[in-house]
Amino acid sequence: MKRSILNTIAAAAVALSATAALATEKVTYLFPAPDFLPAFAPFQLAKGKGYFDAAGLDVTFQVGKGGADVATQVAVGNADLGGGIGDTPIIVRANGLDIRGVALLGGRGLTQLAWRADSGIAGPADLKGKSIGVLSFQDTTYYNLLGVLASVGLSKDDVDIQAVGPGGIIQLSIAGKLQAMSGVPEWIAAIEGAGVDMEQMPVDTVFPAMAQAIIASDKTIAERPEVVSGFVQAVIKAIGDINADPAQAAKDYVSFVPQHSGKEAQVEGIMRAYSTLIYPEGENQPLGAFDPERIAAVQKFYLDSGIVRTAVPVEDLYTNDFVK
Amino acid sequence: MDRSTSTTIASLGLLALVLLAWQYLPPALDVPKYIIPTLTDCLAEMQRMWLYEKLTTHTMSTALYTVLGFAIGSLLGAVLGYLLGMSAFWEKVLSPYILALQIAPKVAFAPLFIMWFGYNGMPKLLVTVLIVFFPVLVNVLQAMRTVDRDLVNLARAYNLSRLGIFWKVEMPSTLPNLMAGLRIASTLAVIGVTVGELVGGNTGLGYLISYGGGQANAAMVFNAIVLLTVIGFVLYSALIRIEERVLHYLPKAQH
Repeated sequence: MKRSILNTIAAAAVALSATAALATEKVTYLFPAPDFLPAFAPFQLAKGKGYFDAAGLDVTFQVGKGGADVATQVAVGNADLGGGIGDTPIIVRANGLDIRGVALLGGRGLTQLAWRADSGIAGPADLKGKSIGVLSFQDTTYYNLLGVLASVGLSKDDVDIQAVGPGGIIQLSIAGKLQAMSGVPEWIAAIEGAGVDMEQMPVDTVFPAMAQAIIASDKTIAERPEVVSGFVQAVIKAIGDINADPAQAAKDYVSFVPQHSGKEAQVEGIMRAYSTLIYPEGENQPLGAFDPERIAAVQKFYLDSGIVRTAVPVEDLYTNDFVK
Repeated sequence: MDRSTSTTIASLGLLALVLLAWQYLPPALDVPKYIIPTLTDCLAEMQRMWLYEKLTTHTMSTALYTVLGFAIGSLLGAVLGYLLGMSAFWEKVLSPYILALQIAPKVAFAPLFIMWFGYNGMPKLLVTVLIVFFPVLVNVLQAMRTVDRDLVNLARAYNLSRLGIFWKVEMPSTLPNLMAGLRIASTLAVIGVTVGELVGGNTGLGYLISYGGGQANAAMVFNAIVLLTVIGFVLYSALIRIEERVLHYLPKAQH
């Protein structure tokens, strides 16, 4: 009797210590905008479907004020990983932030330039004097807009750019207070959903602006590569799910993010848009990989238009080590 | 004379020490330039802002709204202070509401004003007016309550009208308090405009702080803060000059 009790206790102790050995790593991921936005579906899916857990990661989501702000927080160590756009390291590494992109979520550009069909705008050159909405002045979509304006010889003084947050972009565009916006595809869908016709143009038709990127500091990459690798692979897997079956992905997403309940059809439409417009792989680039020539082209574009003043070696801006 | 030269020398010496520490300590302690930019970083960035970021336009915009907000806010505060000072009844009736509004953090109204008035100059002007209003109102009101009653009685003995009493007795005796209130309000006016610009809008030094902060350009943020301090300082100095002229007859402590 005593023996069997001792054996049971010993077995329990071994079991407990075994689970302790499999302890998960805590990771904070900082979003550049509210985390329930459909643009961040791959992350919510990866979390909800347990891809992070399977990689041994205990992920906490937090929200920052835009891609450039996220990069700063990641560089300083307030967050382990963060989200921005592939262009973000080009803008902030020049200021001494040792961060780089570790995964690029798609071969096309994220930012869309859109305008009300009744605004009389036919292209970027007509933006002169108009009111344009962006998420915030600390977000890369703002810098993408500056790039588009520079391509037609306009500067931010020739237009009226307002940082109004995601809700503001949608509401003010519907109300007509903004004639144009620079942002993600789902906001355009929301505006059109309210009966306002919009026309849009992907920013990467003007210069090869990139898709969303996961950003990490050089320190985290050196000290915790398995965390970065596990996180990146989980998110890429989730994107694969979206590409394979957007309808099912939409259902799963809505179950994890109740703010969208009842809007499965809308979310599915948004996921299809991302699948066609943004996630497709670039030439010779597996999903998640950066193309150094593209980065160099974007950096040159920003330098030539005076939006960034210092060039940083391209190999410091990214790594493809975590993308198999 | 000896004393004042030695204090000036000590002051300047301290300034030089601080500037040297600012320039050489951060790199010595391995502090990156996006946390503490050195003096030369900031100066170089100031030149860049001047050339590329329309620094003058932004600074002038902030300065204009500061002065405008200060003028409107203090005028309203003073007028209401005098009116309430003349009527004990209305002062008692309105007091609790004035107190409530005074305690409410005015800068928290900025997002609300943006929703009401849109992304233009109105929200930051209103926040500034609100911030400036209360110190002036409270100071004037307090002064009106403590006017020397003997002087008022003397004026009445000379058959002076109510308005005459106000202009000849009450108003002059409240001037020192009014000036004190204006000085407090001048330092607060800059806060109102900065908060308004941080919360929304695309002009002004507050906007530059937001923009610079977003790309971890700490030098730009430092410079904007310095310029905001300069604006506040200029306004404050102007008020000191005015106070010296207006209140020249008051004996002051000799330092």
